[in-house]
Amino acid sequence: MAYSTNSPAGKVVQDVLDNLPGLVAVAVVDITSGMALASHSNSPNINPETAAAYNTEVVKQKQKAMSALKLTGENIEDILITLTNQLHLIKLAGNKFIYLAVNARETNLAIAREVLRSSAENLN
Amino acid sequence: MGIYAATDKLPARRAGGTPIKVGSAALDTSEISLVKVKKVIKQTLAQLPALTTVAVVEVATGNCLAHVSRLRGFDPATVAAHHAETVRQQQQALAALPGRAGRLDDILIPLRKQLHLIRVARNGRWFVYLAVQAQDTSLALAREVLKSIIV
Repeated sequence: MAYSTNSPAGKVVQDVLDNLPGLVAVAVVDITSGMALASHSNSPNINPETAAAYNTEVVKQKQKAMSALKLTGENIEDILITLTNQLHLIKLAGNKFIYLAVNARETNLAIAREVLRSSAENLN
Repeated sequence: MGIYAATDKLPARRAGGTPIKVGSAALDTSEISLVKVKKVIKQTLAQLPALTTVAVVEVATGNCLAHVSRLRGFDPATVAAHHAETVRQQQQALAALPGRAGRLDDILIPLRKQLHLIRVARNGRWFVYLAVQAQDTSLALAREVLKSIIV
């Protein structure tokens, strides 16, 4: 368990885990460095630290795309990625984001998104 | 990509890529294979094409075994020697700690606009030095790339 519940990031990870016990992986990530502040994985195949690093690039590229399109005044709320068997969600909150991977058969997208939305409020 | 060993006496031309400079004199005295050194540099370049400098350095001697740099006037010998000293000092500091601190994996040096990373090989005999622009990659990504290459 790569988190302590003393920090806000650790509390968020615990909160998401409590609401979605069957999740694949969850991480709270600092966008500047791409480092995970707190993380947890239920799958030996997904290293949440690696996922954090690469998904930070996804967020950064989208932010670059938005500035290239001159979408000023707009912010990324969340990014939803659908895989064959998994759903990956990225919920932005200030300079951090919550990364969540769930099994598509077990978890409803709307529920996962709602859990992230309520957890993100406690992040900053 | 062109790869030129220092003994090849080839002109350093830019044929579709940055040539890997191999410190052949340093390699002759080291126990690290040239194939492995070149592979590490090629893989790092493939995954971080915008990198500023990547070098493979022997810890004990501080010799630069191979390097690629986009900096003009880059002096591999000096940079390698200084970073080898950093690694040796850190290894000594870890050895001096009470209890078992474990093996040195990597050293991360975030500067204002650049990120410098040192990833030590599992046997502790050589390390990779990587310098990237902070705007091109993040600290975690550069670290993950090095971790995936140097196992």
